[in-house]
Amino acid sequence: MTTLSNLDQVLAMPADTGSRSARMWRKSERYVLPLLALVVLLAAWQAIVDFKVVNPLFIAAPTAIAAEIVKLFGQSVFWVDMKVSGEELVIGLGISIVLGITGGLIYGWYPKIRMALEPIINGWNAMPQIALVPVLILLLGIGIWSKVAMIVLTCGTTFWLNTAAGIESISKNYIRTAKSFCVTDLQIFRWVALPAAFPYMLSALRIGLGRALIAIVVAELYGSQFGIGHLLTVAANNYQSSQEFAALIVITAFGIICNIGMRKVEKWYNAGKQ
Amino acid sequence: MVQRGEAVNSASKLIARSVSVGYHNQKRWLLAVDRVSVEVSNHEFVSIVGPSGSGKSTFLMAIDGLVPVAGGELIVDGVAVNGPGRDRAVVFQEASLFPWRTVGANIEFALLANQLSKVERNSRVVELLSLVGLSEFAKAYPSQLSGGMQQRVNLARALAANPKLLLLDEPFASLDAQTREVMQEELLRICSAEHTTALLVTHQIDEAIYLSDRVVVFGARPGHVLAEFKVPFDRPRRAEVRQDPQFIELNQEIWKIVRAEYDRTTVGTLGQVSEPVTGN
Repeated sequence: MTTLSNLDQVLAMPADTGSRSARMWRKSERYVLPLLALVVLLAAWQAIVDFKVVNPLFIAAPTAIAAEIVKLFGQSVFWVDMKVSGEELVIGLGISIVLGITGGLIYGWYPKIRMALEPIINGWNAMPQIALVPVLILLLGIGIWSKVAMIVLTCGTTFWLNTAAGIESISKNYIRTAKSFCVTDLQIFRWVALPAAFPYMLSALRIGLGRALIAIVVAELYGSQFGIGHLLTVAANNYQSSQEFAALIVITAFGIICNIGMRKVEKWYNAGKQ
Repeated sequence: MVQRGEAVNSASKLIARSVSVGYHNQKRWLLAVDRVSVEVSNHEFVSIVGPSGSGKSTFLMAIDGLVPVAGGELIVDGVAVNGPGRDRAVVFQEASLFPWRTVGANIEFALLANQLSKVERNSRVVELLSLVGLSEFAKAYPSQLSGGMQQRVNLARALAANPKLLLLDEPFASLDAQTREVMQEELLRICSAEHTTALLVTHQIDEAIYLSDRVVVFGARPGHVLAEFKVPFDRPRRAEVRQDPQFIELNQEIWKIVRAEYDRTTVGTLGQVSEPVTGN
C-alpha cells in the first residue's frame, strides 16, 4: 500500500530492475518479514517461560501449547465441543442472515420506517450487546439457544446495518435510469436494489463471522455444558494453561481462515464490477 | 431562422407546447424551463444547445416523463406524456450503466418491461451489440470498457426497445475530443440505419450542427427558446462537412447567441468585468 510515509520509497523503487537476488527478495519479503517477527515473538515467549519469569501454570510455553493442540485433535471430547460450537455458529448465522437482511432491506428501502427506527437502531448498535449474555442465559438456559440468541443479537445487527447502508448507497442515477425504462417498483427492488446492496451483505458476512466467534466464546464462558468456550473454562479452572491457549489458538485460526476466505469470495464476486 | 409558432405539423413525433418545468430547491420553488415550444418531426434529428443552467436537460427529463411539467402540453406520437413510457428512451450522460450487470445484461434491462421471452430478449441484445460494434463484449462489465464503449452500450440500451423518440442527454460530454468525434459519426450512422427520431441536448455547438436537422438555442435561467436554426446539409453527412464555410458560419452565429447569454447571466467570466446581474 502506498502511504505518504513510504511514498518516496515506492517512487524510488522500479518494479523490475536490480539483480536477480534483489528481485527475489522483493517478492518474498512480504512473507519473510512477518514470519520473522512471529518467530522472534515466540522465542521471547518461550524464553520467558523457560527461565521461569512467569509461572508455567498460568502461561504455558509455545512448545507446550503446540503439543497440546496435537493432543486435542486426537481427543473425541474436543470434537464434541467443536461440533456444538459449530452448530451454534451455523444456526446463529443463518437466523442472523434471514432476519438482518430482511430488516435491513425494509429499513433501507422505506424512509419513514428508517426515520421511526433510527434512534433505536443506533442506540442498540452503540450498546455492547455481549453484556446481555447473563440475561439470555436466564431466559434460554445454558444450552445452545442462549448462544444462538447472542449471535443473532450481534451479527443480526451487522447484517441489518450493512444491508441498509447498501440500499442507501444506490446512486439516484440508477433509480432514474430504471424508472426511465418503465420497470415496476418491485423490479427496481429486485434488479437494482438487491444487486447494489449485495456486496455490502458479503462484507456483513465477513464482519459477522468475527463477531459471532466472540459471541460464542463469551456466552459459553459464562455458562455452558459443551463448546469451545466450555473447554476454555474447564482448562482455566484446572490450571491447564497449555490447553487454554491451545483452544484459543484453534478459535483464532478458524477466525483468520474465515476472514481470508470471505475476502477472497468478496474479491471474486466484485471482480470487474466496480 | 425558423419562426416560432408555426402551424402544428401532423407528422410530429414530439410536440411541446408552452412547456414549463419547475422544481423545489430547499423551500423555494424555482422555474427551470419557461414556456418552451419545440417540435420534432418523424425521422428528424433536433438538438438543443444553450449555456449551463438553461434547463435543457430538465426539459429532456420532462419529455421522458421523469420530471412532471408545471404547465403546457407534451405530446409524443399523438399521446400526452404522463410518466416514463416505452415510446421514449434516454441515453444518459454517464454512470447510468449498472456496474453489476454485464454489457449484454445492461442492454437487456431495457427489455424487461416488455412482454418478451428470454430468447426474444437475447436475440435483440445480440442485434444491438452488433449494431454498436461490441459483439465481443457481451460478457464484459461496464467498468472494463473505455468511456466511448460505455456510451455505445448506453446507446444500444436506449435503442433496444425500439423507442419512437430517442432522447440524448449530453451523451458524449465526458469523452475526450477524439472519441467524441468517432462517437458522433457512429451516432449518425446508427440513427440513419434505424430511422431514429431524436432530440439531443448538448453543450457542443459543432456537435449539434453536425448531427442535427435543426438546432434550438436555449437561453438561461429559466430556460426559454432564443432561436432556432435549420442545418443546411443533406444526409448522409461526412466528417468534412465541419470544414464547410456554412458550417463554420452557423457555428459562430449560434456561439454569439450563447455567449451573450453567458455575459448576461454571469459576472466577470474569463476575467472580463461585466455589469452585475440585476434581474430581467
